[in-house]
Amino acid sequence: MRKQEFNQSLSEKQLISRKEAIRRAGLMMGGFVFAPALTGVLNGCTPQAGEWTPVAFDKDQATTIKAVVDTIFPETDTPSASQAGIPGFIDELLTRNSSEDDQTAFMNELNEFMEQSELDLGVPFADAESTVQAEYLMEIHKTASGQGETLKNTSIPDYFMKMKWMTVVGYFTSEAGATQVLRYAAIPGPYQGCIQFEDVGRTWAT
Amino acid sequence: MNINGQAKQDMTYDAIVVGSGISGGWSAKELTERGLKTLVLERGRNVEHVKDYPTMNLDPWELPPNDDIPFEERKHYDKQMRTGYTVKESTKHWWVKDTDQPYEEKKRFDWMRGYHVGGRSIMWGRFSLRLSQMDFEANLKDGHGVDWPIRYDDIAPWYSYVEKFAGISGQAEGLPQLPDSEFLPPMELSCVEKELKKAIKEKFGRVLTNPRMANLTVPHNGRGQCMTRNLCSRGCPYGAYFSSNAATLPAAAATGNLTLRPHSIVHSLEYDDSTGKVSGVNVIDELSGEMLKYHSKIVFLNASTVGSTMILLNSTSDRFPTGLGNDSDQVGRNVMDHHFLAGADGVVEGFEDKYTWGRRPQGYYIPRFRNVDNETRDYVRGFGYQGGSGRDGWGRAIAELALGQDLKDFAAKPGPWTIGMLGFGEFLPYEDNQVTLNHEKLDKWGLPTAVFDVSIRDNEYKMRKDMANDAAEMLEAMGAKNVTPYDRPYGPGQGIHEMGTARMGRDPKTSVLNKWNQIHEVPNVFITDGSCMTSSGCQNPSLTYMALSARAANYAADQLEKGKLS
Repeated sequence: MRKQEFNQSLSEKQLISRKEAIRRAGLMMGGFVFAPALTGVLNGCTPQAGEWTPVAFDKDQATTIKAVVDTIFPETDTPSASQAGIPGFIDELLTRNSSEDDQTAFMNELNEFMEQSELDLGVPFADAESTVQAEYLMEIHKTASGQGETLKNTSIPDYFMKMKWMTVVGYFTSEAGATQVLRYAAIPGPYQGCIQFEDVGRTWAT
Repeated sequence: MNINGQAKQDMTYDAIVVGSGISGGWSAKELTERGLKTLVLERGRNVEHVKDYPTMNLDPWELPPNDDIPFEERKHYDKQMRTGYTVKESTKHWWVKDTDQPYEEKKRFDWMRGYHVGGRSIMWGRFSLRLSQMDFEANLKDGHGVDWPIRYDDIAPWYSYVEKFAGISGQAEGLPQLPDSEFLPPMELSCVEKELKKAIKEKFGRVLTNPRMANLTVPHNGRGQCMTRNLCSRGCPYGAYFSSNAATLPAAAATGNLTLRPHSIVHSLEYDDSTGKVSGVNVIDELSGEMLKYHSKIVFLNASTVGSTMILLNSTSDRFPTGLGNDSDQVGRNVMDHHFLAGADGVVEGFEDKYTWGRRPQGYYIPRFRNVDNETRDYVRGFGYQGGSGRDGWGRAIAELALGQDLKDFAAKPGPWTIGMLGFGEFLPYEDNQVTLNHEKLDKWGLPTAVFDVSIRDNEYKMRKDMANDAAEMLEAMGAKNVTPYDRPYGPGQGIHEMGTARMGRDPKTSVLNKWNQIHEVPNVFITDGSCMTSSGCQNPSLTYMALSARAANYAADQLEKGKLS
């Protein structure tokens, strides 16, 4: 984002929004604080379930993206990430809502992940067994969470956390995630400030 | 509501109201209800209630996540996006494009605004708080600024009057520093807010009260009650919060006396030396660029604080070479806002079996407690807190070391309760906090642009220490964990409460408006938007603009009936 010249000396904190402050004050029930490393991709787009014609990705990249998001959220008694339209969501994040620099950085990381995972697994990540995919990503996640050493000095842990961020945001703002995994009320009606959790049963989507 | 043509015979009215936002809507309602043929000039497009709220019913999956605008569009909103929450895909149509509406900053000033019928009454925060006698006496007592020409008793009946029409929900508390409104039933507090309320009452004798807001908790005057969707700023299909579009403009239209003219940018007011009054309003048609002149007996300036100020400064004549009503040189000075972004938050344990229903559209409030009852801090005036609470949501799944069904299960359980509060502090009037006109840089209609030179000072910085520390102390008193005070840099204007640039006062030498919001030297011009404010208080100001507008409009109508002003 371009900033006014005089603003260049201001830190990000000085530009903190009232919404952000109130979010931190706890007002936003579904709210969360974004990790600073991820702010470059904090943009928006619309998850579209169903057919997806990749824009940012070639065929192998698209297959890898789908395999990663479905490892994060596979189909269980609720839909998978790809069934909820997350690959298209990530595509749109990159093409509609990100700067070229952010897009290029992401693509470089994706390519590094594809090369490294094929080296480690002997087959492209998308062709590995789902249990192997899950174990592999979990090891990377541990590194990203400061609980492991796997691939520590590569861009891959950061790439994975970007993928997880985009997948989680996309999934829980999709109709499938918001209504089937979480609880969503478009028109709640009168506010009740102090009720039993079991009367709601699941986390509110918004 | 009829949109008028431009035939000459249609160019004269009893009254002209410049602006259709929260104050202009009230001026229009009162003047038309008093039988005056009234022209409302709005510089932006028309917005019809409900019909022109295109995003009001969209679900999250029908919008971009985080509701962001495309990267390529950001360049149009460099300044409007500084607040972080204003320019979203679902609300961007309510905010000006900075590329169309430039202004300059000697120091950072966030001038957040929208040009359309209804103005910011569509996107406002809806907190509705009365000023108190303490606020109206403050300047006189501590010597900052000039004395208000009115006291609480002058405005109290008008607060009641506008509240009964607008519909304000809240809980009466009987506090002298924050008088009660005419309340509709309050929205409930959450479990943890009730705990905080109890704790600060016991330990400090301080009050925590339910949100005081212009959201209806019961049907009211033909408008529906709040469904707690918390999507207010997209426009409400139920008319459940107060806006010009939902409330005052329909009432004005119902009289048959209203003419609303969108796309009408006021260039200047024309002063007539022979009568000592303003005789015409010069308007640029936003679409055609054509110059038009409208006439009326009285003019209400409700173009927003900075908008009205710019019109005054651009209305020069032999009698008023530096701007209409500017004998005092106070027009454009004393820019105030509310400084905020200091407070604290924490985590509350012990309510893991409790939750909430609905998305309450505003938070709890802790009225001012500093520098009341003869207390003396190392600063003057005080602050109030807006706060909120809730259980952490699905966002915590991002960091959780889990995948697959485990991650879905984790997200489906809400996280810990968090609670926080954010201080809103009084901003003293400083004469050199100023907005001026730049005649070198014109906008696309050929009008001079605004230049801001505004900053907070020692009093505000000292107050902010209390805003952070007192918040932390109160959260600790309720047993909250991980209590984190903060004092984040604040940019003037960021509160979107800019005010004070054509202040009311007793003395024409040091103020612009008298006790009836009339320009001292030009009795047929009234200004009742935020520019009239003599001090800022720490209370959110819109309710005061409503009350002052209704009061001044009825005074003006009285005067006209007595054969004065015309």
